Amino acid sequence: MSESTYESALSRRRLLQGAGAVVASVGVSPWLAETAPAFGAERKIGGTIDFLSWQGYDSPKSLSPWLKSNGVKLKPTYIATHDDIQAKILALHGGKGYDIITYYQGYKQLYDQLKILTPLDETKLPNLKGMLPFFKSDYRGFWVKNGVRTAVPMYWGALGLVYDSKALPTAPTSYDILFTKAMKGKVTVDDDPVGAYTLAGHALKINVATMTPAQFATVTAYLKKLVKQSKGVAPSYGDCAKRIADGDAVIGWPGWAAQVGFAADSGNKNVRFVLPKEGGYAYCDSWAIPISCDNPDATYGYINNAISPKVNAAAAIEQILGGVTVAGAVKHLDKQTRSLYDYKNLNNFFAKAPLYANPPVKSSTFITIDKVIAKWQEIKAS
Amino acid sequence: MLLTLPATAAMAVFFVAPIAIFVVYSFLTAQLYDVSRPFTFDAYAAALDSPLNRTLARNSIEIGLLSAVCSVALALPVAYWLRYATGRWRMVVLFLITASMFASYLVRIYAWRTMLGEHGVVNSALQSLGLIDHPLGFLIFNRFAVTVALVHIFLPYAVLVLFAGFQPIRPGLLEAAQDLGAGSYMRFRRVILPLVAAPALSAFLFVFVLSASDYVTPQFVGGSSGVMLGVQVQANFTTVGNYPLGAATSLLMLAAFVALYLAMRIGLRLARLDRVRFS
Repeated sequence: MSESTYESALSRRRLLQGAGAVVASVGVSPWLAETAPAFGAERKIGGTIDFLSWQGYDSPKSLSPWLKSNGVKLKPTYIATHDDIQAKILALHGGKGYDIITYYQGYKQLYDQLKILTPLDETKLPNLKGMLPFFKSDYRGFWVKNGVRTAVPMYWGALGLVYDSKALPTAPTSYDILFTKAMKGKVTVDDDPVGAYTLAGHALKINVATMTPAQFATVTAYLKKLVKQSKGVAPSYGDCAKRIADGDAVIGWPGWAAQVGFAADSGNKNVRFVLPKEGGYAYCDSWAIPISCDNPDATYGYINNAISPKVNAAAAIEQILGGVTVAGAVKHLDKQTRSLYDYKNLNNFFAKAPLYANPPVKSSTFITIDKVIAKWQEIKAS
Repeated sequence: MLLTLPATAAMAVFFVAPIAIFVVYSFLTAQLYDVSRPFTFDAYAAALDSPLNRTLARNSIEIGLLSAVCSVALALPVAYWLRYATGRWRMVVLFLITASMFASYLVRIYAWRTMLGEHGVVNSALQSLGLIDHPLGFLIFNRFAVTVALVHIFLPYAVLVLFAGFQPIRPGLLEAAQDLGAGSYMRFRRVILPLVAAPALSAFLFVFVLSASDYVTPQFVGGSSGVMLGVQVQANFTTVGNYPLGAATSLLMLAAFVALYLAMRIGLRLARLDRVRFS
């Protein structure tokens, strides 16, 4: 056997051995996965929680003590837009990875269709009992549908405007300010297609979830006009806040209270949030466990801790202008945060800033979500 | 033959396989964040029919060409200087040129936001010099800003490619041309240019392809006029959930890049610059 032939044969053998090892590991892994639950019963809370949500929703000050005391690590992946959530989970093709997400109530229908949510076991969430009645309810099926809970409401508030109070000493009272000459090139718009259509629709008294083609054209025209007033669309809420913080914009739309904190982190403490006279739309981002979760015990513990009264209150304070979802948390709020919402009559708040559903996934009557998203891409580049 | 196996395997896994998957996806029927049979040309028809895609493709080509022209134009004298004038400092200068590549891509983009923003370094400097009363708003969130950021990002690559192109051209060749009466322009036109045409083309294509397909820079410094086709490809995969359309748009971009490469090769051949050798 010549040297080269010998080397070749050896390599082939090694290659076959390597391939065999790969095949064996692939063959065994489903068995390992099936047997995993058998160990689960004895498993203690621990390991890593892969977190997929907005920056800040991991509320480091309020939620990390539980992580520390339970020896759990949190590995956050922050999203730039809500659509990153379904895109990242579906990209796993049924594999494991992300343990916890939050979803905006409007995405419930889409997520049901995509089958990326798991039903929650309420026995593992004893603190659910203490939630405010509004958030415990099956309101429009956003969190509980047909008796099946898929989410635990956590962060809520409204979207309106954020602005630099140094450049605009008087708080804007109407969305009309966005279209004034003085604001030409001073507006920054978030790259959030559903948020944009929802807020524009609200200002025009059009429900985004039941938009007719004519209404869709009206809202689209409004948005085109608005984007023309801006210097382009910011790729994320964080970047939008940074544009205001850096002085490249004065008003951000849709404005999210959390952006006040983002701007402060960028060195500008003059950024404020306001709900103009037309109101805004409310969001309720809720914890959910996606199909990609491989550490359910720790994830249930994490969620249950987040809805314990003291932690829930601390997280709301940490969020800046945040609301609580737990009845017992109200008394733990500081005076300023407690004064933001009338917890005895939340319906008043949700009348001014309703919780909307997203456009439907399928409909022969109303504009569907794919059309909204496609049109938004056009508007952005218009 | 065996020695090429790792490289071949790497190319197969990281290049051929993804492209093959994209090709298959581009012919499948779109579902929401999913695909199904039958195979169809619908995605290609939609990608080509879309006025938005055409606008963004035009933006991409214009910004890509401008970035590539600027990068090569700036890189040529730097690479020339690096090859013939830096002497023993060459490695230090090379290190300084490549050092900017060590910084994160996003950090460099944000650095340009800090430079070109309304209250950025450029506007502040101009104001403090009394040259302007109000900040110049046109410096940021437009095509200009995208081009500046892309040139900054890709210039070191162009310099390195051209420096490698200059390496085999011995100084003696230029001295011989000078002895024969060639002035500096003639030396550049008749000696250097034919010899570096092929490397310059490589640098040009390298910068063009990466710039035209970029989807991060336009979002951070682009504004509406700076949105490029890469952003739409990304949106098709993440926001719209239309994988076939995203794949078809990507493959059409790839086809355009290959066509440009072939056109430039033909151009070199017609100009008889493709067979120039150094010795």
